[in-house]
Amino acid sequence: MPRLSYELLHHARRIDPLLIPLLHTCRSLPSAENELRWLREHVASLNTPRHPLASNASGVLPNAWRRHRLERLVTARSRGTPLQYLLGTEFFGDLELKVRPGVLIPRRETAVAIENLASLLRANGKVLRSYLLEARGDGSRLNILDLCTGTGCIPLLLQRLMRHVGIPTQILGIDISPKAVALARENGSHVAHVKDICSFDRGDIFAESSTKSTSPLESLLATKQMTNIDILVSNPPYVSPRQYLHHTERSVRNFEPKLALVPVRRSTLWTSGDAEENDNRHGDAFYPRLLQIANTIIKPKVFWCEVGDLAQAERVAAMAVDTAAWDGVQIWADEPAFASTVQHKEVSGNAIKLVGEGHGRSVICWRDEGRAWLGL
Amino acid sequence: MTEVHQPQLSPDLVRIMERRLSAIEHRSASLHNLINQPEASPAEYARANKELRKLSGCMDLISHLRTKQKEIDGLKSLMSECPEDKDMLDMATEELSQAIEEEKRLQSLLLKSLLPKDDADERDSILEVRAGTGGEEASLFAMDVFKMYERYSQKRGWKFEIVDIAESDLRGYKEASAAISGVGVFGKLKFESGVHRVQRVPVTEKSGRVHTSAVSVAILPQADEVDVQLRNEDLRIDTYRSGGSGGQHANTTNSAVRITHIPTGMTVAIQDERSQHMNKAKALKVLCAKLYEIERSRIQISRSKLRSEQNPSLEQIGSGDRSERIRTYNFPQGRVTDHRVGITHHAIDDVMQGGNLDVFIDALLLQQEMDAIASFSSSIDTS
Repeated sequence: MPRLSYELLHHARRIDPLLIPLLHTCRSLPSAENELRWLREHVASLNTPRHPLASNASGVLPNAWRRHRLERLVTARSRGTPLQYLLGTEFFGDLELKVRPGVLIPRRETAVAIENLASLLRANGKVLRSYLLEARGDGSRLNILDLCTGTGCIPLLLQRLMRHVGIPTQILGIDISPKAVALARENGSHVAHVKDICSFDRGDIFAESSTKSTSPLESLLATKQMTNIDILVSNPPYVSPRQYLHHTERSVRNFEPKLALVPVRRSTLWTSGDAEENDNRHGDAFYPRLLQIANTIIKPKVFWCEVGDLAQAERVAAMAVDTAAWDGVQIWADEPAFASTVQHKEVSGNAIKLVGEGHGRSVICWRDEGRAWLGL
Repeated sequence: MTEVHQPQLSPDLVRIMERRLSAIEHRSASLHNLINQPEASPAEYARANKELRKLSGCMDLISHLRTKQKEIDGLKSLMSECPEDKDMLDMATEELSQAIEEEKRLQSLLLKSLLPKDDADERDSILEVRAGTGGEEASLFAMDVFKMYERYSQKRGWKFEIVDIAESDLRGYKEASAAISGVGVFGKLKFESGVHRVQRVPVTEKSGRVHTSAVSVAILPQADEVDVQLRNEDLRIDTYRSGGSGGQHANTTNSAVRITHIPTGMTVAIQDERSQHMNKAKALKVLCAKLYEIERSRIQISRSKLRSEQNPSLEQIGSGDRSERIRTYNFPQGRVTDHRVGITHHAIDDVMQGGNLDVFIDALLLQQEMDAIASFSSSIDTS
């Protein structure tokens, strides 16, 4: 990291001395000023605790307490603690969700991709509604399954966006971390509409059943009456060990759960090949399993998953093409709504569309009615 | 309030108005005729109905006025018929004066309804305050002015939402904007656009000299995407993108949104809120207001050109020209002077607290009304 210039620090001190520690993490003055204001607003919104030695009714020295509290938050932020953990919330689309250490903070890029997915589905809402009516009868819902749900952000946003166009959904989010499941449930009860059906459960998507008859995931879906999954979404851990060491932000590495970032090594998966290839395979570990689930256990019409960069997107797209189970595969960049920029990528002998601007961000696959739902 | 400042109608004006009223009556009668004809096509019928509905408010007033006028005629003929009956005469005279009062009231109401209205008067507004010449002191005064409008809005029961504030080093405002919503916001505030000058000893000044600095204020009527026909393909929305690959690798708090309107090249950037969504919504709001203002001033220029060709002596106030110096706040003398109506108010603190702004606003509204009446009578004369 480049050193901050003396002039910048001097200037910042004149505005507010608390900006100096924040600059160490934020690196730019406008960012630091914004963060300081948000922290200040947060502290101002807190109720001051009643001091045991307080003589006045309102509690002792609320201003001193607030100042002290603010300084502590600024110090924590200067050491890299994510701002969202300090404030306890993060915005995802137009949702404000609770966040907590131990659960990955929702990312803007994810929200943008989900909004794009929803806007495609909404544009073809008529097709989707008549499908639901014909295939499942009156009052049926669009079933959405999210694997590795974390805060529950993806299905909750999808549910909200689909409700706005009158398509009721039933969502289920699964995560291996009990902390994540508890948080996702809180978020669900906090943001979901009374008519929405949302549930979150703990589950290991790699778990195999001992009897080989039904997998644990299958039995879970059966108990939730989610046997017909229409859309499968997932933002699994996708950072390889090497990327984790060299290409993740300090704050992410030090404060966010590694479990949500780097796939846990399964020793049987890789035995040969060179180091870089193995590293990539390690980072990609969830995708073959997700595709396998999508082809054997559930048969969604649309499958969307987030990826780390264009190279990974191409690898995942190749895996999807190779299963021969999908009618179409696309790669979405960070801003898929800028659809005017479409490139073609040669993947596994097929020309795959890369839609939008920015880094490679997600892969979307569809089959059967899924094509009409997405209008692709 | 309008009752208080009821302008005295000159006989000329009444004569002009009468002509206009009988034209409206004629039109209304012929429209009624058309509607009652069975052979009228649905399109004709709909058009006539729509026009009738537009005229109906005016027609109600006219029929009231006509009844009053008949009453006056009746009373006058009564008085001429029996000049000997004293009791009768007294009674009739009293009733006549009441009826004439009522006639005048109805006439002035009608006049007001005939005057051109600004469609934007009922709209919500975007307030923009920008520090001009005078460095830090101008920024500090920009903050004072911004807060003055905030308090004024609170007093009127309007909602005052801060959109974006760019602070100066001493925590003044280099630039600040807010969305004000409520009843008749733009109609009240539209005259505030322009340069506000301050004369005072700045807190930064050690030798105690009085400085003059300036702040520019803009009040834009709030518009939505429909008003300005905003098309998605005309917009480019840029957000911050993290270095590296983003996604799980990075976690940014930068939620800034910059919207570029491609046809005009106008850009609005908002970074105040933690939510990118809210920043985007705010930026769109400001952009719509700005585009609408461009459209309005284009129409206004063509309109006032027309007017000045007809009657070059008329000059419109509150044109919204932001380079016009409209008001001076002189702290050492404790006064605020509005240069357009030439009113000086001597309780500067009250004004800064948002209290006595109405002194200026009401005077400006009255003047606007007078101007409109003047141009109304001149436009009839020429037509």
